[in-house]
Amino acid sequence: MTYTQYVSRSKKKTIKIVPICFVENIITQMDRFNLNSQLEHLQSKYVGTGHADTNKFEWMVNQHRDSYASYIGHHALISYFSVAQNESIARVKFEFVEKMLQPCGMPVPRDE
Amino acid sequence: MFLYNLTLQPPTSINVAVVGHFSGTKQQEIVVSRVTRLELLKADPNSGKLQTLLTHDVFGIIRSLTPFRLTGGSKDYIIVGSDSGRVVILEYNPIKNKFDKIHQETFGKSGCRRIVPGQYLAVDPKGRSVMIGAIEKQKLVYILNRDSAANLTISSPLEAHKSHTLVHHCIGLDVGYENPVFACLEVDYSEADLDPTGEAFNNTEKMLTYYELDLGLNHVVRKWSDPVDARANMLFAVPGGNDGPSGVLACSENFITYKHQRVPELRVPIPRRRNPLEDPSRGLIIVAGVMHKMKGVFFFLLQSEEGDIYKITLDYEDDKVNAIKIKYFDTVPIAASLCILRAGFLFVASEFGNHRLYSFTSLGDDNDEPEWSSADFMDPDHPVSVYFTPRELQNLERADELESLNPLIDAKILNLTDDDTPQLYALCGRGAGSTFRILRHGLEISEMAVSELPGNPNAVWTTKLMADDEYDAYIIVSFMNATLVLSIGETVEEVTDTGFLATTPTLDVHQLGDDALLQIYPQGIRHIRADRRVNEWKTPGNRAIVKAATNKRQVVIALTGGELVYFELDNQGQLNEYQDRKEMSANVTCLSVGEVPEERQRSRFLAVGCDDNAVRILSLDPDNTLEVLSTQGLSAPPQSLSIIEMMDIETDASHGTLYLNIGLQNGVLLRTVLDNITGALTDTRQRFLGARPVKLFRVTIQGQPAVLALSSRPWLSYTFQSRLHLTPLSYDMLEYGSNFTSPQVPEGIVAISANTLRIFAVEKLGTVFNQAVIQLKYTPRHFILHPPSRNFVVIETEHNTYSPLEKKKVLEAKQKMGIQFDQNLLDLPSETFGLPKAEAGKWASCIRVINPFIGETTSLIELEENEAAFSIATVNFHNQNNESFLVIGTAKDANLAPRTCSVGYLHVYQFVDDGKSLKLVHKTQCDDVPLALLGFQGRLLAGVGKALRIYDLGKRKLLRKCETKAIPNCIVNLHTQGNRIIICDMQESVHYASYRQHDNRIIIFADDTTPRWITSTVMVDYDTLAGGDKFGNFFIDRLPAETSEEVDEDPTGNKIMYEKGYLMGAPHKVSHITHYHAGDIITSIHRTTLVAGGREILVYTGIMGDIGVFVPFVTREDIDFFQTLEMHMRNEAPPLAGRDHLQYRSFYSPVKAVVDGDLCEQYNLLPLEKKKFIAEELDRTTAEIQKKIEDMRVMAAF
Repeated sequence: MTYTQYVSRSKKKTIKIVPICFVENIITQMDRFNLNSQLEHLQSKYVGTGHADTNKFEWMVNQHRDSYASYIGHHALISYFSVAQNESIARVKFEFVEKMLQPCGMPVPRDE
Repeated sequence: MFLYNLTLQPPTSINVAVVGHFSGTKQQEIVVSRVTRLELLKADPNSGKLQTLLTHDVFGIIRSLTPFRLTGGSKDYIIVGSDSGRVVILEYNPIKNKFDKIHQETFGKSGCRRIVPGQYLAVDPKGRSVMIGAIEKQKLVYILNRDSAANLTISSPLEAHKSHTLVHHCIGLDVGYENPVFACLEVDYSEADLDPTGEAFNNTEKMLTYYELDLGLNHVVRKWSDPVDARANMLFAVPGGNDGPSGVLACSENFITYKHQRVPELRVPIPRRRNPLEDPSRGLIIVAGVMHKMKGVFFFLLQSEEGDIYKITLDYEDDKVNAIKIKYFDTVPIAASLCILRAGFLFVASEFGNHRLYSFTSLGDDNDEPEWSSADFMDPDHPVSVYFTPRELQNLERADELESLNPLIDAKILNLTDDDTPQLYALCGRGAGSTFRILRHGLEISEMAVSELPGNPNAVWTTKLMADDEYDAYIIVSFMNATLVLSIGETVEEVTDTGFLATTPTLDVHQLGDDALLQIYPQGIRHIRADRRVNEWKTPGNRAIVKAATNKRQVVIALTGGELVYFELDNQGQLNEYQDRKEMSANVTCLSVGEVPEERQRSRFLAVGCDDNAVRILSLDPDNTLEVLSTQGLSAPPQSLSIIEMMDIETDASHGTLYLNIGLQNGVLLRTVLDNITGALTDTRQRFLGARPVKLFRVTIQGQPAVLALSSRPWLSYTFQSRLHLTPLSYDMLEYGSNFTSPQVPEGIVAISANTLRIFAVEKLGTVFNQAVIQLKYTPRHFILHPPSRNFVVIETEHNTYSPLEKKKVLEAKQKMGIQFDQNLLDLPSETFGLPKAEAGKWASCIRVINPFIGETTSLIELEENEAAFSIATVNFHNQNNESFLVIGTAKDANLAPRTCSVGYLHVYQFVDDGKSLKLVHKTQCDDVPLALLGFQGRLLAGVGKALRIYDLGKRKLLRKCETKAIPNCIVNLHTQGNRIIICDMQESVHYASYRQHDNRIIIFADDTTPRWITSTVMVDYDTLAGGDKFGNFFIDRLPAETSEEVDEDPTGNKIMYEKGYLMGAPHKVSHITHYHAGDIITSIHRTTLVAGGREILVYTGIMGDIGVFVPFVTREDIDFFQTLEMHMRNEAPPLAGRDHLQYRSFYSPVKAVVDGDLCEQYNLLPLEKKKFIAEELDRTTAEIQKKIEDMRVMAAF
C-alpha cells in the first residue's frame, strides 16, 4: 500500500480511486531518495542509529556505550556500583568512560 | 490502589557543591546539589556552623553545577546541567528566599543520554560564556552577556561537536580577557571501532583539546590538540591573565602534568601513602580538587581516591612555569566536591557519609612535610613512586558536620523502645566509615544542665529585669506552697531579696513595662518596681485567682467562678484595673494574650478557654473592651492557649500570621488563624500530640517566636525557611517550660520534669530524624533482629580488602623478605584513613551482634579464607522445637562480574548467651552464591544463584529437600505466606510459586511481563507485592484474584503443573497496579504505620539516604482532588531544572496510580495569585487546599 492510500484510508475510511501506478512510481522514487537522506541525517545526528548492515557486534557496542553513559548520569546508580566495587565514585566514572572506548572487546571483521 | 508519595527525608548525598556570592553580598554561600534537590548553605564565619537557607526539589537529576559571574558583576548566578536536555540559569533571590529561573534553553532530548549535553559544565572565568558537554560528541557553547538594563542574556548555542569522541572532563581555561578557551580531555574511538586487529585500539591516544570561542566571529574552533597520559581523568585550570601563567593541570593515574599550548609539559608524581600493605601496581587518581586564589598567589588542593589532600603550587615567572610542586596536606573523607570559602573554611561534600566543614589552621607552608618538584622527575622513562607518611589533621580543624545517611543500604522500621512512633534502624556508609544508625523522629536537643530541686515543682519561668536586657536574670520555680527564685549568673543560685513572695505558689511571672516585675499568685498580684517598691492588688473577698495571662503591658486574671479582671499599664508605669469585669458563663480553664506588637500599646485580643468546651476571643481595644469577638467550639475542654505571631509568610519578613494555639485535655493541639483585625477564627488544623493534656508555652527559636507544646512527649511548633513545622523533641516528658537566655546559652529552654530543672537548647532545625550512631567495620549488607534479645545481627562484607588473617600473612611475608615497616602506619584509625586496598577478588567480611540500646557489639565473627557474607535470616527449624537459628549465606572467592564463586556456604549459628553471641552449628556447601534466605514452614528456603531450595536442619549439614531451577537469573529476594512463595529475580522481576506439600514440589505459576532489576520488595498482601528496582522505580504487582483462587483451589495440583507457559514464561501473568519513578534506588521497603493510630503505609529508603512513604488514598474524591492539583502544579510551577515533571516521574515507564505529594506540597511556595488561581480551578479556598495537603502528611507520617 502506498503512502497516499494509507493516509486516505486512515482519514476517511473510504479509498479514493487514484491512478495508482502513476503516483506510486513517483512516490517510491521520492521516498527512497528521501528515506535515504533522512536516514543518513538521523545516523549523523543521533549516534547509534542502525542501518541495514548493522551487525550484532555494533549493536552491542552501541548498547554498552549507552548503558555506561546512563550509569554515569544517574548518581544513584553510580553510587550503587561504587559501593559494590568498593571504589570511589570518581574512579568508577573514570573506568566507565574508559570502557566506552571499547566496551565489547575487539571489533569483529566485517564479512563482505 | 492509588498512592500518594511523600518524602520524609530528602536525599542526603551531595554530587556537586559550588561556592559563590549567590545573594550578592560579601558573604559566600555554598550551593549543593543533592541530586534531585538544590540546596543553599551558609557557613557562619564566627561559629563555623553550616546552616541551610533553602532547599528546593527540582524533580530531575542535577548532574553538574557551576557558579558564574558576569564581568564586573558582584553576584553569582548558578548554571545547572541536568537530565532535562536544557541549560538553566538560576539566580538566588535573598529577599524572597527562593531560586529564580532566569534562562532556560532547550538543546536536546531529556534523560541521561550519551550525546545529550548536561554531564559537563565549564564556564569562562571571566563570565563570558559557558560550555555544556555530553559524554560523547556534543558540546555546546553559549555566550552570556548583559543587555542595556543589566539583565543577563544568553545567545543561541554554538556547536563544538566532534563525533566518535568520548569526553572525560571539560573545564574553562583562564586566559584573562582574550577569547574564551575551553579545555577538554577527549578520546577518539572511530579508528579503534573499525580495526579488528586491535592495533588502532592500542594506539588510541587521549587528547587535551582547546576549543576557542572567537567572540568576534561568533564561532568555536578547535585551537590545539595534544596527546596526554592515556590514563588522564581530570583537568584543573591554572589562573591566567594577570594572575598566573594559564594552562591546565592534567591529572592522571600517578601523575599530575602541567600542560599548555607552546610550552613544554611538566609532571610530578602523586605521592603515595607509605603502607606495607600497599599494592604498588595500583594506580592512584585524583578525584576532586579546588583552586584557590588570594592576593596574587594561588594554590590547588587536590584529593586522591584515598582521601589524602595534596597542596600543589606552581613556580613560575611571567608566563613561564619552571616547576610544579606537590606536598601532602591532610586527609579528609573522599569528596565529591571540595570548596574553599574566603572566611577560611574547607567544605568537603563527601561522596559517602557525613559532609564536613573544616576550618584552616594553616596553609601548610611552613611545616616539615617533604615537597616534590617536577624538576626532579623530568625523565619520562623512569617513572618513580614517591611516598609520604599519612598523619592526623595538621592544617585543618573540623568545624561542623552535616549528617548523611548516604549510602543507605538496608533499613528496618521497628518499635523496640515502645515509643509513640517506631524507630528506623539503618545500615549506612561504605568501608571503614560504615555505621549502624538509629533514627528517631524528632529534633535533636543538647542538654546544658540538669539540677535537682527540693520537691516536685509545678511551674517555671524566667524573667529579665529590664525590658531591654539581653539575658534573663531570674529563674522562678513554683511549688505547691512556695516559690523559689534563682538568679542566673556563672552559677545558678537561690536569692531571697528579689521582692517576690516566696511563701505562696505562683501563677505567672512577667517582666512588666520598662523595668518592673510582676508576680501573680492565687491571692493577688505583686507589681515589683525597679526601686523595690511593691504594689499589691488583693483579690476581693476570699476568691482566688485561677488563671492569669500577661504580656509586658497587659495583665488578665480569671477569678474562681469565671470572672475576668483586666489590667493595663499606663504611661507612669502604674497598673490600672479596667472598671468593668467580665463574667464568663463557665469556669475558665486557660487564658492567653498575645505579645504587644512593636510600636503598639497593647495586644488587641484575649483568648479565654472555658470548661464548656469553647474558646472565646475577647477584644482588649479601648472601644469595646472585653467584648466577645468570636467563639470556637472544641471536642474537649481546653487545657492551654497561646496567641502567637509566626513568621511563616515568605513575601514579608517583618509580619507573620497570628495564630491561636489550643491545647486540649485529650492531647490534641489545634492551630487556628486569628484574624488580626476582626478577631475571627479560621482555618483550624489539628494534630494529636500524645496521651496527656497539652500545655503550651511561648519560646524563642532562632530569634523567632515558637510554641513549646508539652504532652506525653514535648513538641515544638516553629518556623523554618518560612514554613511552619510541628516536630517532637527527642527528650523526656516535661511538665512546664519557659524561654531561657544567658551568656552561656544564648537561646535555650528551661523546663521541669519530675523534681529536676532542665536547661536545653534545640539544634538542627528542619531535620526530621535525630540519629544515634554505632560504628561498623566494613560495608554492611543486611541485618536482622533477634526478637527475644532485641539484638541485631549485621553482616558486613567488603570487596577489595584484606581480612585480618590475610593482612597478617602479607605482613609476615614482607617481614621474611626483610622489609622493615613502621607499625604506626598500620595503626592509623581506619574511619579516617580507610582500609588498605587489596586486589580485586579479595574479600573481608564479618558477622556482628549489636545491642542497639547500649550501642555495643556483643560478638564479632570474622570470616576468613576469602569468604564473604551476602544473606542472612533467622529460621525456626521444626525439627529443633522451633528454636531460632541464624543462617548466613556466604561465598568463597566471589567475583563481581561475571557473578561467580568457587563455592558457596550456608552457615548455621545458634544464639547463645541470651542472644549476645553466636555458636557455629555447621556449614553446608552449595554451588552458587546464596543471595536470599527465608524461614519457610519450619525449614529454610534458600535462593542459591538461580536455584530455589528447601533445606532441613540435619546433624552435620543442612539437608536438601526440594529444588526448582525455573528462575532465569538469580534470586535476590524471597517472601512467603502460607504455601505461596514469591521469588524476586535479579533481572526478571517477580515469580509467584506455590509449594505443593504432598508431592514436595515448588511450582511457578505466574510471573511478570516487564523485566525489572529488583533491589527490594515487600509483600503487601497475599497477592500483592511492592518493590523497587535498580533504576529508581517503584512498582506494585498483583496477582489477579481469579488466578489466585484457581491456583489455591486446585486439589491435585496437576492443573498448574501441566499448564502451558505463556509468552515464554509462566502460564499466568501478574498485573501492574502502580508504577512510579522514585528518583532513588529503593534499598528497603516496609509496610508499617508511622504515627500512633495512623493508617498502614509503605515506607521506603533509598541508597542516597532518602526516606519516603506511599500513602494509599481512601476516597475517590481525594484521588480526584490531588490528581487535579498535581496537574495544575505541573502547569503553574514547572520544575526548576527544566525537567518536565510528568516525564521525570515516568522516567522508565509511564507513571501509574501515584500522585506526587512533594509537588503538591510546593503549592505552599507559590505566589498568592497562583495559589488563588489553582484554588478557583479546584473550587476551594487556598486555606482548604493547604489544609488538605497538610492533613495528607500528618495523618500518615510526619
